[in-house]
Amino acid sequence: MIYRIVLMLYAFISMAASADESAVNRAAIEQGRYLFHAANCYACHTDVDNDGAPLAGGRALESDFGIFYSPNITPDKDTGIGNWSDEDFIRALTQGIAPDGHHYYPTFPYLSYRNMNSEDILAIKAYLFSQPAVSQKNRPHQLEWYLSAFTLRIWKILNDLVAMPVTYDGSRGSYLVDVLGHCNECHTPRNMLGMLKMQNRLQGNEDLSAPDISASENGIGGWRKQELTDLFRYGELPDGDYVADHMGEVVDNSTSKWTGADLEAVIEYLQR
Amino acid sequence: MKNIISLFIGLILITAINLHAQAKEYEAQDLIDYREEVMEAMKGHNKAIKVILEGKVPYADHLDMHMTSLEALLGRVGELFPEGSDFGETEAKDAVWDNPEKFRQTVEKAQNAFQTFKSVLAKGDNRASLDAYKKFGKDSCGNCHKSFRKKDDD
Repeated sequence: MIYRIVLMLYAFISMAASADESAVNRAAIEQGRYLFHAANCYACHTDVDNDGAPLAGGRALESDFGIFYSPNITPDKDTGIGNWSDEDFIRALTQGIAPDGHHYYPTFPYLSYRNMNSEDILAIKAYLFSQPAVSQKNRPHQLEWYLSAFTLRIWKILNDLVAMPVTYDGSRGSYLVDVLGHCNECHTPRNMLGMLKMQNRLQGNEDLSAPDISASENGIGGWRKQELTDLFRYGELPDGDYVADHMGEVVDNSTSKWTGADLEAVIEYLQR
Repeated sequence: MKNIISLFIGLILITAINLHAQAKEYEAQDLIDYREEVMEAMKGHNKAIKVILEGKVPYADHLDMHMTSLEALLGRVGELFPEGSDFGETEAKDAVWDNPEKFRQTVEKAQNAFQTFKSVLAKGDNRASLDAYKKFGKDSCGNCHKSFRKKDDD
C-alpha cells in the first residue's frame, strides 16, 4: 500500500515538473518568436525570391565583395543547426564564430548582435528549434579572389582594433535599433574595408541606397511621430510612396510586428 | 473604273499604315518613363486620399475622383511592364520579367486590396476607412515594391 502511494506521489511530482518545464519552454518559444522577428532573421535566411523553405538559407546576398549565401538555420541535424548547443549559438551570435571554429563574414550582423543578452539569444534558439527541420545543404559563397578565411581573420582583428564598436546605450530603443534590428549594418556608411563608420552612425550608405535615418534635418529629424509610425507599421513614406526591396521586408517581417511600447521606444530613440 | 482604282489605292494605303503601326518599336526608356509617370500619378492620388481622410483639407467631395482614378490606374498596372522595358534606367527589378506569374498574382492582390478598402470606405466610417487605407497601402503598393522594385533614396 505504502509502495503504491509513493509511486503515485512520484508520478504526480514528475508530471507537475514536466508541465512546469513545458510551460517555461513555451514561454521561451513565444519570447523567441518576438525577438526572432525583431532581429529580422527570416529575410536573410529564407530564399524568398525562389520560394525557398523558411529558414533553410540559400538566399543570395549580393555585395561589392561577391555573393554571400545565407546558411540553413532550421533544426535539421545534418544541414542546419540541430546539433548546436546553447554555447554554440551564443558564440555564433556574439562573436561570429561557428561551432567548428570557422569565422563568419560580417554579412552576418554579429557586430550588432554582440550586445544581445544571453536570455534573449537562447529564446531565439528555442523558437528556431520549434520550427520544422529542413534538409538543405548550405551553398558556398562566391566571393572575390582576395577573400579567404585568412583575410577574414585579419579583417576581424583590424576591425576590433580600429573601428568604433556598434553603439548601444542600454535603452530599449537602442536595443531594438542598434542590436536586434541591426539598422547600422545598412544605414551607417562603411569605409573601403567594409568597416562601419560609427562616427557617422545612421547617416546613410549610398552603396546600399540606404537613406540617412539620423535625427538630423537630412535624416528623419523633421518627421512627425505619425509619419514614423506609418513607416514602421505600413512601410508608407511621408510623400505617399512606399519603401522597397529589403526595407519592405524589414517592415513586413520585423517593424510591423513591434509592440506599441517598442514602437514608441524606437521613435523616441531615433529622434533623440 | 475610277472608283475601283480609288478604292484599291485606299486599301493599299490603309494596309501600309497598319503594317507600319504594327512594326513600330517603342523606345524602352520612353516606356520606362511613362510607367514611372503613371506610378507618380498613383502616388499622388494615394496621398490625396489620405489627407482627405485625415481631414487635413476641405476636399471631401474630391474623394470619389481620386478613388476612381486610382482604381483605373491600378487596373492597368500589369500593362506597364512589357517585354523589353527592363533595359534602361528603371527601378523595376528583373523579377518582374523573370517571374511573371508571381508578378501577376501580386498585382491582382493589390487590386483586391483596393476593392476591400473601397468597400470599407463605402460604409462611411472615417476611422475605419483610414485604417483600411493603411492596410490597403501595405498590401498593394508596399507588397509589390517589396518584391519588384529596387531601393532608391526612399
